[in-house]
Amino acid sequence: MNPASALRVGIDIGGTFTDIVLFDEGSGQLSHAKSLSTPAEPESGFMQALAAIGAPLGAISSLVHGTTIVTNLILERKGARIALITTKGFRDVLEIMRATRPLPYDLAWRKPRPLVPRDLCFEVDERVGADGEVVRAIDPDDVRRTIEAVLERDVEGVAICLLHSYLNDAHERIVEAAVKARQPGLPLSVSATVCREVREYERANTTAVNAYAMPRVQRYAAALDDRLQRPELVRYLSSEGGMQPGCEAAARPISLCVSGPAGGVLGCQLVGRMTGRDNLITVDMGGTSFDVAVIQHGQFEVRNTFEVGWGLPVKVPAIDIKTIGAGGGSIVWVDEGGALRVGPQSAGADPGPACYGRGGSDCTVTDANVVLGLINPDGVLPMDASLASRAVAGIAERFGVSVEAAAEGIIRVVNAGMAAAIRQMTVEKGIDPRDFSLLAFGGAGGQHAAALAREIGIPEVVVPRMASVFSAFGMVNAPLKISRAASVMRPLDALQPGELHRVLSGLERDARAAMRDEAASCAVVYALDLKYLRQAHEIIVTVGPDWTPAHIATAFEDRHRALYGTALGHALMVVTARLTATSPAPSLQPAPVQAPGGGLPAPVRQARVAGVTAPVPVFDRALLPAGLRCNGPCLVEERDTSFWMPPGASGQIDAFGNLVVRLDPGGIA
Amino acid sequence: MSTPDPFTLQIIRNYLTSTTEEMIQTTVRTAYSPTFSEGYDFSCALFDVSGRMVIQSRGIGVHLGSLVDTMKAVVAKFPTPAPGDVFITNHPYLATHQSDVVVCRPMFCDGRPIGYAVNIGHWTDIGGMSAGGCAGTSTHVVQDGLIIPLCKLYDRGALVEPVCDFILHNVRLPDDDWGDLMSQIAATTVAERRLRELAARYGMDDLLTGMQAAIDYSRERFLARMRGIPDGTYRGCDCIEDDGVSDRRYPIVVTVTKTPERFTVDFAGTARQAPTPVNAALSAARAGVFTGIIALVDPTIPVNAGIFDLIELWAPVGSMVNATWPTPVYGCTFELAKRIPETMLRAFAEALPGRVAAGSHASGNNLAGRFIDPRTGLEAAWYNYYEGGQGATATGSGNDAVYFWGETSHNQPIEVWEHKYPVLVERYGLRDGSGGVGRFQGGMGSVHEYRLLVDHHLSGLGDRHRVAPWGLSGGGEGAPNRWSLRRDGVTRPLGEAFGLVSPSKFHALPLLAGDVLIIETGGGGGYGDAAGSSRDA
Repeated sequence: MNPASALRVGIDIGGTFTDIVLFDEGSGQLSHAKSLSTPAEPESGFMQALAAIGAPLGAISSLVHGTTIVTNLILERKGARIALITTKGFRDVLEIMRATRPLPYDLAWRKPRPLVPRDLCFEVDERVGADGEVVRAIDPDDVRRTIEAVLERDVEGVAICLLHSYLNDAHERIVEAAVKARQPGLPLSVSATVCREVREYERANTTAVNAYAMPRVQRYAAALDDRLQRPELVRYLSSEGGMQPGCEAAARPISLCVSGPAGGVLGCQLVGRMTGRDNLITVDMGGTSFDVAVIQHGQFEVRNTFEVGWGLPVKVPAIDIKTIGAGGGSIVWVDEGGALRVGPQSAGADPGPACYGRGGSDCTVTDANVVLGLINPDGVLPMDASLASRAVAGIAERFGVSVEAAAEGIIRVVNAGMAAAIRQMTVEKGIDPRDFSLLAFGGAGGQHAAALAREIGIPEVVVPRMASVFSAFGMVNAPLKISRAASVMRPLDALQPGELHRVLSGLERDARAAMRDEAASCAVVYALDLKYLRQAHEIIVTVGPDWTPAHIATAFEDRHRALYGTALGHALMVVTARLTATSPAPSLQPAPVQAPGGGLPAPVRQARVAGVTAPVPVFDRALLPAGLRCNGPCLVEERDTSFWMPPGASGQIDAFGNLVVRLDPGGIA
Repeated sequence: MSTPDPFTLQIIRNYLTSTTEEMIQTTVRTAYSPTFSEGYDFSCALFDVSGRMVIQSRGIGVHLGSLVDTMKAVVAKFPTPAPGDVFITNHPYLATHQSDVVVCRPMFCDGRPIGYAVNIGHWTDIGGMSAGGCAGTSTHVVQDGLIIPLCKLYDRGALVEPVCDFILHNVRLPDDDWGDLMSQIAATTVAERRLRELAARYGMDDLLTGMQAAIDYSRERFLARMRGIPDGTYRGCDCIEDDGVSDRRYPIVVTVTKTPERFTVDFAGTARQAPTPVNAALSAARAGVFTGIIALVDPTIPVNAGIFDLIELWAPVGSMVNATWPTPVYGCTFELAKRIPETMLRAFAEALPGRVAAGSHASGNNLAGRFIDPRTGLEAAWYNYYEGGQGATATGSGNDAVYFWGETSHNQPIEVWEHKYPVLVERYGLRDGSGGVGRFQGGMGSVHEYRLLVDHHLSGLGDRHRVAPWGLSGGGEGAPNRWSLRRDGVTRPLGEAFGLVSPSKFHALPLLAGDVLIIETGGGGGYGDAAGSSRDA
């Protein structure tokens, strides 16, 4: 390792493993390691991962960290005891949610509990109207009384969300200042800071979830700083695929909700950039879920609302990732109507699929893949093919077909579900997937990728190097990114000249302050959520900061036409103004992998694959030199996964160690 | 025609499900009214070439169930549809009430019919005597709104402009209604496109077989679950508590006979139709019956003709559950559509208390306000219906403040509401003490307090304001629904303030700027004896 060179590090802490990837900017070398996670004290696992890769702390120039800490707090309901302060008359906003239910005919379903219990929701007497004007002034004595009542309840944090505060936050700031004065240092989440957007339930929930996670995240960030003794070294990967300084993450932990999957998409973006592929459909198939994202012209889509649990929407930006409950561990079953069902229950890691031999007897997707011969039972994780076969036989009997036919049927049903998720992210949004490459990672991705690509009509599959630590790899690629938004809720033609510019400049000042040293070099993208005045649903349109209303209207109509085929020429409403400030992406130039040279190595073994008459060769990916070609049918194995290359497909290892597979469009997967 | 393998059938079924989900998303994204986009007051479904339902979206039970009769009428009237045709109707005796407009597109692939895509949704205004609907005292069906007979809106892809013009000239909010109509059409266009893609992938024969298999599949699953319900005859009764013009009560009597492969639901003994819109046509009553049976047997099975075929309905002609011309039926979607399933479950309460829930608020509490928009000087209207308490069950407390009985509607954000209408919401919360006591408590209803910023004419159509939601197995009653007016610091029930016959059915009450309208919805009944009471389970 060149001592003068700077090191970039990505650390992804998942439920089981902590992954670390190190990129040496001087040599272009990438290395990685895995260590066990330590959920009770994640900072220990973090330090162990650093030790495992052997990077001297002093040489690290950038460290990006992805964590599931916020997601787990919410899923396990283990966040802080917090209070909500809201406008008089609205204390039940979190209890009522949107009053909806998931199934129309169900009597037994129960609403999930809100993150703030009803007796910790408080009101202050004040009111701002829908035009942003004060209807009822706030009374400082009432504020003081309310705060005393809150503090008597021994809370660890406070969320503040008053009605229409996205237009006028004066009252929220008064409450905020009063809490700060009364109890300095108490974690505070203020809606006008966290989620300055219209719709009271969504805003209150976002603000409350943020407060709920703040104490734990702040303690964790402090513990990391303490262990590392390098303040501000650790930056956190946000759900929208950017890194954030520790202070930003501590003030807005809500932005870390889906940081792990975001790392995976960043990794795909980096592979795309390294190999000159602008258009990628990324699929991550693990043990319990299947994630799809789309990268078009080198950029992924960001959405501004997602749910962190049923009925718990948060309005913060996140990479647009579609998740379905289909993974290697998904349990296969036959329902009362005789239909084959896959998931959403998963055998997880323990007992895991039947073939793991840990006592699981349910048939899983992995068992079907073992029966088909697409997974080597004698790999890193030993599997018992006879147990897999027995599990699939249970399904086969129900349909009166052979075990192989049942296994094939299972995989077809799983693949069709995954294909539907891909269609939803592409075809249903007017994107033609045939112009894309499929980039597959995650332990179970390789067995399905080729069939999936053919189902959708995608001509090429890329299986990246480092697939087993791919999120951490992507984190190395994260730029600094800060987003801000504020609802405007005004007709476009009613805006005063310069009014929009003022709103955007205010947001920009705030974002640049958070960027600090990197503010000067950042690029800012401005956008508006617009709708026809009478229409209910908004569309996001990218704009310039100084655009005239006419210019904005034209851009909206173009977008509307592209999405829905029509433009109506009606008056517009500006719902929300947004911007994202991004520092230049790190210019990573990984060195080409060392090619051992030579021709196609001898297969490490022959495998029987259902549906193919002769045994197929199995190659060890680690032994395949760059530039090498191999043709399907064959299996390419790695430590913890394998790729099935069907007849008619041909693969090549590229200069960076990625396996690139061309599919003959007419072939049979 | 060869039979596709079971795996292909499952793939086709899943694909149809995701197609209805896409129909929902398409509608939400392009609709104009908050009723559609924020409230989700619409539903989508796919039908086979003979007009039998194959698959339905999440949505509203009364919309979906009533389409059984609508589609029979479509197939009878237009036996040979052409590609590009789109049918429209809101006929109250073919579907639900006039506000719910049905858009039906026959789908074709290579010129061959493959089924129908349907969207039914609630337009914010449909003309009639009350802006936004909900005239509680109308006495003739034409007073409830424009009636669009079943006709072609598009003929081979071309808009039938006279039909469209005629409709839009007879509603108060032609822009909103036009936008919502276009969103309904867009949903059916998407469905046809997706089914063509499916046909291209698996072949037309497999697609058509797959649709039939989806129906058979639901039937098989439903039959399996029906075995859990003892054969026998079960009887329940309830009532509509008044008709808006008199104190007269209208009994609802339902007798359900269950055999291994059939439910027979008989309304003999139910009151004759009322002069006012508390009635339902057979199509909507049928939907209420479906809702009750599905809730009783298994709410998780995909709903389609396979289930509907197992349910037989007998409703005396001219009774309030089989209303005849010119009896108004406007309230069918939010009164009888809820009261019928609840009465049916009540029939099973004694024999199978573990399968039913106690009584709920069971009313849409529908209100519509007409006003002059101060920003435009033009007449405008809002329409809303309200979440309330659900009854407790043997396993836990009832939900607080939900849309209940065959619904997945959402309430509309107060902040969005205030941007659109001259109303300041002073309170939006749970109604303390409204849930019935019991081992498990009934869910609480909600409270909305509207300070009106301009004069309004208020129309209302609700029920269960006098007769409280019933408790189950010894549980207490929930609080009934209640609407009040606060004027000059004095709060009084609306009925009392205006000297009305009914507390919940009226038309065009003159409310003044500064008045506060207080809408309190009922709580659910409790379950079991209150000793050992619990809110959580």
